[in-house]
Amino acid sequence: MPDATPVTTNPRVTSSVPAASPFLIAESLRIGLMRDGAELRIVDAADFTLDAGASLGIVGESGSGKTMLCRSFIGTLPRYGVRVLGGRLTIGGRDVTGATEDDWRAIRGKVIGYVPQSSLAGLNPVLTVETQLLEALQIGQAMDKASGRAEARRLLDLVRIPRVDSVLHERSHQLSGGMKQRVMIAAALALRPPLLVLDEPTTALDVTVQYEILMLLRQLREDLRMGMILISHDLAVVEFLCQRVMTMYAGATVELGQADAIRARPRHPYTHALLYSRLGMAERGQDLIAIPGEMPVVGAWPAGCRFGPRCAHAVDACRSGPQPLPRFVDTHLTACIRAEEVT
Amino acid sequence: MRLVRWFRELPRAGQVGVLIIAMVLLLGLIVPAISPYGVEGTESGSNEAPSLAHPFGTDQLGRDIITRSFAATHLDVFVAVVGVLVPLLIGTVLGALAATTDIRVIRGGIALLIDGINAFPFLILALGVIAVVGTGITGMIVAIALTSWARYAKLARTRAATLRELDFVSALKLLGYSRVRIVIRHILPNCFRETAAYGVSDFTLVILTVAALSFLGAGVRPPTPEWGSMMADGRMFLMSAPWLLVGPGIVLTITAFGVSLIGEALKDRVRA
Amino acid sequence: MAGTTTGVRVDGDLIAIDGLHVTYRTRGDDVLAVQGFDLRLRAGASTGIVGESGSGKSTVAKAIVGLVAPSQGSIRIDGDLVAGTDASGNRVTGYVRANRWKVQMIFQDPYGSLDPRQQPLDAVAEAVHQWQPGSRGAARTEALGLLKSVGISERQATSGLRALSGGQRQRVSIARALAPRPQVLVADEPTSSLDQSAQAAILNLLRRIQAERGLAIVFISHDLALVRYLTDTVMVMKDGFVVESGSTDRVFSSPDHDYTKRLIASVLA
Repeated sequence: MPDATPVTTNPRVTSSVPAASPFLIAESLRIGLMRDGAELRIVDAADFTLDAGASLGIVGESGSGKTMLCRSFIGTLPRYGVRVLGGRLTIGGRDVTGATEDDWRAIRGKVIGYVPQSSLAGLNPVLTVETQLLEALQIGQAMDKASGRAEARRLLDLVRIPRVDSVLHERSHQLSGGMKQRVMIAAALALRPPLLVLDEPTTALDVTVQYEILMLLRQLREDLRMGMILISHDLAVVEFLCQRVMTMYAGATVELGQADAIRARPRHPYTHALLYSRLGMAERGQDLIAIPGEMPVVGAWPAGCRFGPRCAHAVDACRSGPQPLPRFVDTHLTACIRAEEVT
Repeated sequence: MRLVRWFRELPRAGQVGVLIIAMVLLLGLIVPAISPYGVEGTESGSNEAPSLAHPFGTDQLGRDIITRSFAATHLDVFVAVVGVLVPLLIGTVLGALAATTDIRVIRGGIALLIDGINAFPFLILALGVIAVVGTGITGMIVAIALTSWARYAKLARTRAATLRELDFVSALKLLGYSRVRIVIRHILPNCFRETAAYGVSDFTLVILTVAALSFLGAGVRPPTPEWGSMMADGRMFLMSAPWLLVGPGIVLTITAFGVSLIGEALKDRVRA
Repeated sequence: MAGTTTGVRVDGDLIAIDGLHVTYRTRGDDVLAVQGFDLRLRAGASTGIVGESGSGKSTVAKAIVGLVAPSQGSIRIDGDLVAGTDASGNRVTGYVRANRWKVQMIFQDPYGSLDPRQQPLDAVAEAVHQWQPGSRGAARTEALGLLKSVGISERQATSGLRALSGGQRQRVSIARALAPRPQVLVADEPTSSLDQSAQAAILNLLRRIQAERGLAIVFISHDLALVRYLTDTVMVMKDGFVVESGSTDRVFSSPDHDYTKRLIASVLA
């Protein structure tokens, strides 16, 4: 067995060194469905790149389109009756915009590992942990039983599961929530993908377990020099794990930049509100900062800036035209046309 | 006004279904009224092929088939409506009761009936009931009601069992609402929403059952026009005069198609 | 706590719980969900019960409102014995009409807390009518006012539930719980199913309501940040036991128990 380093051509590209070409490129990516001859968009103009070995956290509340965006990376949109409407998606140097299910089968697991949102229910209840890990391993290549078993043990060690021998022969109902999540992560890592995509990996977990899983993921990212895309509604979780952060609102990218830069000074009123409506940000006896109103549903996005109707800083210019595209303001990208004045 | 809004909010297929049924019902009034032939009149030659004078031909007794096919619409649709509503009401109430009562005997008794009835093939059971209560329209409706309430009851029981565990039921208990009130005013109406949607798609089944029972001679008696009995009479002339079956068959199929379009549309709405 | 009779106010506490035990029976086995829980809460005060899944915190909430019966111990609400043994040795299990209105609860799942068939206005009006004598029209007027006070407009109140978001549904649940003008509110994870921006608004609302009505509130939560921000005192539960309790400031600044320390360390900054 080779060491645990995944097969990447260019692991851990630092921002100062220009990468040959980013590992994942989304160009004006539009996701949605056709209804009555018109596009019904769920994700609009997603534009970003991810270098090999880099990490990106996508933050948004329900209805932001973050989960659909994430599903486009692993080609499971059609299951939800949705497709890529336009733009381009390149993964590992390969254009996958119009990829077929066969193409995706060669990508899933090998190029991109995926831990789905409902992963606590993601294990087959009648199969043992070992059987499920072997399944994940055999998608990659034919493997004899002995080396498959050894590989399964290695995976459980990798995700720091104690008493590997007994866990291998247990079924999902015998495992705690945290253990299930570790097994799911192990399965996603089976074929040593250079990029791991996680959709809300800690949402259903207890506080202490969430912390352990996040620590594990941070360790894995560093040890394996693996790229990571993390979807979460929780800015704190994303900041904990990812170098870069992207905020989505009503299908649009509203802010994108280094996590510390955004934390230090968010340049979009929505990210600002997300950051400061956190419970840890207020003193007892003081009101929390709340965003009035509700996120518009798909198909009812307002003209102009989609956050406009809920924004305290909105002026007439914010209320017409298309959703503003993100632009550079000092350190990072923001879609707020008034970023210089109001943030 | 509410009807217009309800219609507008239906999916397109459901709207088409509503229009089809409206058309069939309307033709059921118009065709016999403007037809130069009586519904039970035997003024023409027997087994005449379709022609301008008799678009669907005539039957073995020389009756105009198109007139009779449409004249049957109201009887068949009436039996279907009653045949759906009666078991729907009984089934939903008993199903919801079985899921919410603490009295073991009631719960177990209803469960036994549901499973017992559902285990039998529907049509055979219906024939058995008719053998006891007698043929004719009433007999048919009783047979359909006695046999098909169990399917609604099963649906309602499952739904009520789910609802009972929801927090809103706890919230209503804390507000001091009585058990009876929670079941009648809050659980039962939610069960009806579910069973009613399935009921609409059951119209098709009931229309076909009525036809089948009449076809087997257990339903409407001649000379009353009814699709099933018309087709039963025509089967002897299947080779020489197939139009005896085609005429009522077309109207029956169109009606069944319209109803199932509505049913599917309503089911989608409940699921959404 | 023998010697106190029903109807006598106990130390001015709205909630007085002593030695509460709750046992669930599953397949012949007795599971001790709560083992020895005590609580005193005055009007206008709030306490938080934190813990992870299986700690027994939700069972405490259900016992307080009367949805589960304690196996031992007593619960008094505003002096009324609602669970336990009274002075003459009779067992009391649950609320009666005379005290049922005093305690209401907000549930976690906004999508399961409302009758899916009922408009918000009808749901609240029904609750008002149950507790305040008067015509249906008067109940509707009062219900509209309640809904308005929690931020639900008349248009939202008279449209179907389907149009409402999780946060808006939770507001309707709060309005309904306020209909009998309760003295105690038990909130079981009231915001954990909500988006962050909705959470902030709901918590602000609950705080405002507490101040206006002098409610005693018990917050059940897995979220330490929420309890720290919101409550005067806190109780940390693990495996059915209270492992630590005290003023929120003290517990968070210098926790005694190892488990409390671990919980606090797990909170992301």
